Amino acid sequence: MNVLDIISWVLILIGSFACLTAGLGLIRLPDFFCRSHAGGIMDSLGMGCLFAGMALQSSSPLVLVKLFFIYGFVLLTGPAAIHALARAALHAGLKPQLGKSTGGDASTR
Amino acid sequence: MRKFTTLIVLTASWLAWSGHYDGLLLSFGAASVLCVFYLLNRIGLAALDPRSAKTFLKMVPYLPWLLREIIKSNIDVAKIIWQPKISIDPAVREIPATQETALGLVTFANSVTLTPGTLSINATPGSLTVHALEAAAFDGEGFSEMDRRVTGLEN
Repeated sequence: MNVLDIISWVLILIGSFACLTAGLGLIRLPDFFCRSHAGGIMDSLGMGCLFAGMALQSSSPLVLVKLFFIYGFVLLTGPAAIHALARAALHAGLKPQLGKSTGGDASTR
Repeated sequence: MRKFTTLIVLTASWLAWSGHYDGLLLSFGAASVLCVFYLLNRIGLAALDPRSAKTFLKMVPYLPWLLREIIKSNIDVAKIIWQPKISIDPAVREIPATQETALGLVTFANSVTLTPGTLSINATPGSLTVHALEAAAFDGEGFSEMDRRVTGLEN
């Protein structure tokens, strides 16, 4: 096992952990808008580390360029989708919960 | 003339990405290039705007800075999510956006959304409505610095 393999596996593990965190956040955070933040972790760190890990495993430069561009498209479209969802929710009359909130999982909403 | 450049760019990127050069797949490629060109033409974007191309080039030094911000705020939000008892302080505020072009405003709004913990929920020329997981995100220079950097990408 060479150094590149190890770095690649570490990146893939970090990316997987970030995706797990995003999923947990989607369940645990209290309202729609807060949950959208958790989705952002998946788009940025989760996908980023997974793609970087896969890029280190690839043997041809063409695959590398393709992975790079796919991540570029994810970075462009992910936030646009989240923005569209949040805006639609706002227009439909959903009010964000504001102010401090402490306490256990507010996952019943 | 600019529309012709768009066709060439589309064809070149299809050829570079496919890696297949037999007759059948080349004709599929030509068909998809024409399809994309037709759609671009319909929404009035077929003529490449040299200003946008310049903005894309200027993004190269902006991205590493954005990446660092993204990693920092990812760690902050991950900490919140893994707390045994979640304690947050969500807030919505308007922040000024000094970009002049639509592309600049989109870049700013997307950068805000990409940074976990802050989410742009409405964008109008001149201002951005931002939802933050922690009201503390509005303290300090975070947003005005990002705004300044994105405006610097224009023209």
